[in-house]
Amino acid sequence: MNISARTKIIVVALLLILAGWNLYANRRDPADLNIADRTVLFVTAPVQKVFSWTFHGIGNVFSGYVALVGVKKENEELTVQVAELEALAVANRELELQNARLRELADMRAQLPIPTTSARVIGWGTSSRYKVVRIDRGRANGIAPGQAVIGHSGVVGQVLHTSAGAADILLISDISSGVAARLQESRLRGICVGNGRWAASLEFVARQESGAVAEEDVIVTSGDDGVFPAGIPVGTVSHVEVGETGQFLTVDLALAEDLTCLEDVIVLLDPGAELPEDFQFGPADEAEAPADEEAAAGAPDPVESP
Amino acid sequence: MRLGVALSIGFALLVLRSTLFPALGFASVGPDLVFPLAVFYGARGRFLEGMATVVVLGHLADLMSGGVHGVHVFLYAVGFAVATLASRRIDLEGTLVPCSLVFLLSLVSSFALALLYDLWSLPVPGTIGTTIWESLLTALFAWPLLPVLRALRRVTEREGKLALPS
Repeated sequence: MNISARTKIIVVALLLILAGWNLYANRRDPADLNIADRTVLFVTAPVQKVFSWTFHGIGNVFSGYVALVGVKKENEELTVQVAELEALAVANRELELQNARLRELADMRAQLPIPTTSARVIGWGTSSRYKVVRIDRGRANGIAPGQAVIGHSGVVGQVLHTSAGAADILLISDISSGVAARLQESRLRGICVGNGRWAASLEFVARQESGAVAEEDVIVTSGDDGVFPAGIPVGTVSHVEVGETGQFLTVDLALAEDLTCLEDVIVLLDPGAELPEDFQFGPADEAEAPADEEAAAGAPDPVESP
Repeated sequence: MRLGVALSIGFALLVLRSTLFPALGFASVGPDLVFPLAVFYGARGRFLEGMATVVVLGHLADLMSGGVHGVHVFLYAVGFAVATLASRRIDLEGTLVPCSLVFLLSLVSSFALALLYDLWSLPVPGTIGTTIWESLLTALFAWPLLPVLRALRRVTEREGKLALPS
């Protein structure tokens, strides 16, 4: 079909206007997914999961075997059998680390006195503009938009979208993320806002006399947002300065959870739930671990060594 | 069917972007693999088919990015629109010109997006550094991608089932 240049210009202009209007209509409510969108998420998540496993497997093979082949060439005395044993040792080490990680999660879930579910990260957002990851649990597991997500060391983010078998998590380092937080020592409150990279800052902290906020001070959730229970580590202070207005401090922080290599997370299924005052965040020592088998039963199963 | 092939390629690129690229170290800033497709369609494509592809893939990219819905539809629409309007003056053969074009159009669409957000008094998603890096990486990955699209176009033309822009 031949389309004249003038028609093309008109149609392209209409396309741009419609695209702009579509963006304008959706600019404030990213959590609003219709049934067609949820279906697309439902269909695409398993594909991502398969690809994620495949690439993870290929990566393991590469680091555990192919790299060793290169070493073998440099060292002629090494036999194939030794290389295989080395590869097995690498695989064992990987499983050991995975086991430790999953046990930490299981311990933490057992400790938490509120309903939770654990999940694995199966994909990362396709845009550099947003800090979003996709996990392998969704509405079928009780996950809903707005729920809090934590990791081994602290806050991870918040559930953004859900489909039946997957959910998108808005990471705390995204610029549109906001978490009510406070300094553990001085009890000063503020809002933790992501910087769009892998860190965040605590905004709207009332200006205090010098020394009230120091580097390495711990920042925890305050519970004021009705999403995160109070007392979950957010990060530590890395830099403090007085804001533009002179009324507030801007506190840069290093996040407690390393978001760059996120693999497993815990979703708190009851937004607004409170933790007991004596609750200590982090995996319990074996001696102190409560025998809450019911809570631990839902945690991911540690992987057996070969 | 033609549309189906283009959408399948776009979907495969999005899945690769969300699974393989983070594993390769592109978790923070990475290329937008679908953007070159939008430019290619705009410059050499069947107009209506290209428009449908851009809208559907933009929506899919919005869903898979977890960001505000409409951002990628808008970015791809701008890239497609500018490439369409300038198509008579653009030579997509070779390597340097198409990659430079992808880089420029990626920057142009990002600035158009930033302008809109600024008009609406909303925080602009991404930083200038992120935008430039993403545009550079997009152009870099367009380098192997565009010949593949051209080859696919030739194959489908030969078979009389044109799947990609002519």
